[in-house]
Amino acid sequence: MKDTERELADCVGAIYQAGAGDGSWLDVGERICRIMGARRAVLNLGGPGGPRNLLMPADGSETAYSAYFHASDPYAAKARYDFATARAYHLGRAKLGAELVAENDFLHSEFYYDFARHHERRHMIGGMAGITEATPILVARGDDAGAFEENHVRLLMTLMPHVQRAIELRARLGREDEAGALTRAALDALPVGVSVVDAGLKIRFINDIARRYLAGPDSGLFSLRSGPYAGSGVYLAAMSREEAGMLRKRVASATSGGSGGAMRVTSRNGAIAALTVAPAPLGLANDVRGRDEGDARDPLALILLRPLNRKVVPQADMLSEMFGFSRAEAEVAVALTGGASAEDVARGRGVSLMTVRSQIRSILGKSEADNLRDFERTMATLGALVPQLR
Amino acid sequence: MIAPLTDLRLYIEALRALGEIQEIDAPVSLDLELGAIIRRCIETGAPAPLFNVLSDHPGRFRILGAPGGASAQPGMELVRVAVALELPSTTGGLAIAEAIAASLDRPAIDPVVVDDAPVFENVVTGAAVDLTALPVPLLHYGDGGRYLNTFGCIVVRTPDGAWTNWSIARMMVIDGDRLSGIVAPEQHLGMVAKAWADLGKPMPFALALGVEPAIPFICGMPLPAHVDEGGRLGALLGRAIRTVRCRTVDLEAPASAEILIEGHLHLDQLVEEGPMGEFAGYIPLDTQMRRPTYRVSAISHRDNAILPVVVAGEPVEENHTAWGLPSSAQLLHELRKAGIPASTAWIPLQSALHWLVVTVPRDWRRRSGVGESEALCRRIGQAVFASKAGAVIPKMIVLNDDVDPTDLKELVWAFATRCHPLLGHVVFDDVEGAPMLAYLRKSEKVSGHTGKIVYNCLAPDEWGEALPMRASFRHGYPADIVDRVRRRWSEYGFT
Repeated sequence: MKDTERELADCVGAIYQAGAGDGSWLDVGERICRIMGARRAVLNLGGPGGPRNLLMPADGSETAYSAYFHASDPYAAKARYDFATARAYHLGRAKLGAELVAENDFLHSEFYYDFARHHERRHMIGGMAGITEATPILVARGDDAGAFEENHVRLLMTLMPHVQRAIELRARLGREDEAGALTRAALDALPVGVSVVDAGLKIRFINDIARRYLAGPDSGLFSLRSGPYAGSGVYLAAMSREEAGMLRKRVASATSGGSGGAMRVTSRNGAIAALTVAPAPLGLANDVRGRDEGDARDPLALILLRPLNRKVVPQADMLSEMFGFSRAEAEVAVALTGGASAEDVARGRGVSLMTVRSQIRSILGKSEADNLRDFERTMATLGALVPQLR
Repeated sequence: MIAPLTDLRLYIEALRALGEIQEIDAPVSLDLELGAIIRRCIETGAPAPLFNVLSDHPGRFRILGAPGGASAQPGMELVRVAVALELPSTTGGLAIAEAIAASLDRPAIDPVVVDDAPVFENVVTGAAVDLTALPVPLLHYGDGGRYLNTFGCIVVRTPDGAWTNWSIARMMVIDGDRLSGIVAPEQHLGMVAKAWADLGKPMPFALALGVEPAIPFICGMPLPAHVDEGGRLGALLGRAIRTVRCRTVDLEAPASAEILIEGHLHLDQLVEEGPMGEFAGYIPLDTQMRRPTYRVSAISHRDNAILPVVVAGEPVEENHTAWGLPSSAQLLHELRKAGIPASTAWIPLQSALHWLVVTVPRDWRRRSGVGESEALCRRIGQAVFASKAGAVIPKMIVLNDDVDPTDLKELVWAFATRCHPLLGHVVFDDVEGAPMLAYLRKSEKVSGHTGKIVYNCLAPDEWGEALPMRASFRHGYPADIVDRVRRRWSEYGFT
C-alpha cells in the first residue's frame, strides 16, 4: 500500500471513530490537512454551545468566523443553495473553490478581504455532506501554498462518503444521548440520592443529591477518580473498610442475579445514611449508561441513598397545596411534626391554645387523619418527597 | 516458524547472528581469569564469550560462558533465553513465562531414544576415566574447588523406572573419577537418590554437559515431583527431545550433549565440597561441607567439545534466567490453578530469587471470591510458599497489574509508593526456606526454617476496584493526546 493510500485508510478509520464518539475530530482534521497539504479544515456542526468547527482547535480564526464572518461566507451560502436545490446531486461531491464561487467574486468579497486572506483561506476545496442541512467540509490553504489541484479534489471525494456516514452516526448517537439526558434529568429531580454503578462500583450515573451527599462532611461514602489511566472512571467507595466490603457484596448480588440488599453507612461524625441496592432496571441502565462507558451488557446496580438522622418535614406550601390548609394551619402542622406540643405552638405563635386546637381539628379533617399520630405518619411519608441536601 | 535448535552449536550460531557471541582466541586461564571474564560479560550484558584457547589446559575443548545471561542490546534483554526456547528473539520476560506456563496444560511429549550421538566420538570408561582431562575452571576467588557442572543436565531415574528426573546442581571435581555437590533431601535429585539408598544401592546418574539450549531451562524449572522434565520440554517446544542410551548406566541422556559423564552417586560416601559463589550474589563465608560423592564410570565427548559455564553471583546470570524465569512460569500456573486471578507472577531478575511479584487485575475480588486484600495476600502466600517452586522465595510483593514487574524502575516506584509500612502485609512466621538465601542466620540455615512475608501493595480495600491514577505520559493524558504527541515527536525536533 502506498503512503497516501495508507494515510487515507487511517483517516477513514479516524473519521468513523470520531463519528462514534470514540476518537477525536481534531485528529481527523489534522489527518485531512496532512493528506491534502492544507492549512485548515472546516466542518461546522451543531453541539451544546452551537455550531463550531470540529476539525480545528478553537483559535482566533474560528472565533472570528463564528462571531461574524460565517454570515458572509460565500462558500457556506453556495453550499446551502446547492443542498436545498439538488441535495442528491451534490452529496458526496467535492469541487475546487473556483468552481463553487467565482474567483473574482471571492477575491472582491468582504469575506476574503477582511477574513479569509488573513486566515489561510485563499484557496479552497469544498465537499458536500449533510443530513437535514448543508454541512460542507472545506479544506483551505493560504496564498503562499499555491492552489489545490484535481488530485486533491479526488482525495477529498474519496473521504466524503465516510464523512457523510460519520455525521449520520453522530446524529443518531446524539438522539440516544438526548433520551439518556432526559433520564438523567428525571433522576436528578428525585428527592433521594440515586446512583447507578457497575459490578466493580464504577459510577455510571449519580444524581445531584447523591453527589452532594458524597462530597459532604456527613458522608460515610465518597467517590474517587480511578487510574491507572486518566479517564478510567469514577468509583463509589466507603470510608470504612467493613462498610466498603458490605457495599461490594450487595452490589455483587444485584449485578449477578440476586436482589441486592440494604445497609447503613456511618460517617466519621456519626451521621448515618440508609442505602438500598437493587438490580438496575434494564431501561434505566441503558439510558444512564454512556455510550463510551464500556460493554453495554454489563449488569448494573441501582443504589438509593438517604440520610437517616435528618428529620425531614414537608414545607408549608406543599401542605397547603396538597390538603388545602390555610397558611396558619400549614405552619401549625409543620411545627407539630417538628415535635412541638399544642401548647408550644400556641406560645410560639402568640395565639390561644383554643385556636391551635381548632386548627388541629381542621388539619386532621382536611388530611383525613384519625388522630395526630396518624397525621405524623402521613407527614413522614410526605417527607420522602421533599428534596434534601439542596 | 523458528528452526529447532537441537544442539549447542546451532544455538551458538543463532546467537552469533544476533550479535550475542564473542569469540575469544586469546589464550585464557581456567584459573580465575575465565571466571572473571564471564562475570564481566554478565555484569555488562556483553555477548556470551566463546573461549577457543585455554592457556592452562592442553585438550581441544572450548568453553561457552554466560550461555543464558542477559543482553545489553536494547529491547533484547532476554534474547538468549528466548532463542534457547525457540521464541522470537525480542520476546520479553512475561511473554516467555506465559509461554512456559501455557505448555503446562498441554500433554507431555516424551523424549525419543536415538541409536547414536556425536557425544560418543570419544569414549573413556572404567579405570581410564580422568576428570582432570576436562577443562574445569576455578570460577570465583574463594571457591572451594573447580566446578565442572554449572549448566549441565543431571539425569536420574527412580529404581522402579517410573520417574526420570532432569535437574541442575553444581558439581565440583574431587579427583580423576570423583565429583561432589549439594544433594538436598527435599530436592528431586535427593529424593531419587534416597530411593536408591533405601535399597542399599548407589544411584546411577548421567551428567550431560553442553546440551541443546532449552534443556537447562527445564532442568531449572521446579516442576512437581514425579513429572518428567523431558516430556514437559517436549510439550513446550512441540517436539520430542532426542536422547541416547548411556554406555555404563541404565539411563538415557540428551543426545545433543557435548560431554557426557556417567556413574553412580553414593550418598554414604562424604567428601569436602564447596563453598562456591552462588545465585544470591555472594561467596559464602562457610568452610567446606561434607557432601555425597559421584563416582564416574564413563566420560564421552564430541571432538572439540564445548563446555557451557555459568559463573554464579550478582544478577543477572543463569540461576536467575534458567531457574528464576521457569520458576515464575511454574508459580503463575500454580497460582491460577489455586484460583488466584494472577495477571503475572515474576521473579525480578535482579532480586536473585529473593522476590516474587504477583500482579492481579482490579477486579480480583470478583474473580477470586476473596473480599479483602490481606486475605488475598495470605492465599497467595500459602499457595506459593507451600509449593516446590515457591520454597526458595522469601518475599513477595502483590501489586495491581497496571505495574509491569519486569520494568525495574516501575517496580521500585510502585513498591515504594503503594506499600503502607504497617497495613495489610502477611507474615509467615515459620516455614521451610532454602538454606542458600543470603541473609539467613546460621540457626535458620541449619533448621531449614525461616520467616517469609507478603507485602500488600494493592489499593486500599476501601477503594474497591479504583486504582491510583498515574501521573505519567502514558497514563496521565487522554489517549488522543498521547497519540498526537507520539506522532508529532519528530516534528517537535526530537530524534
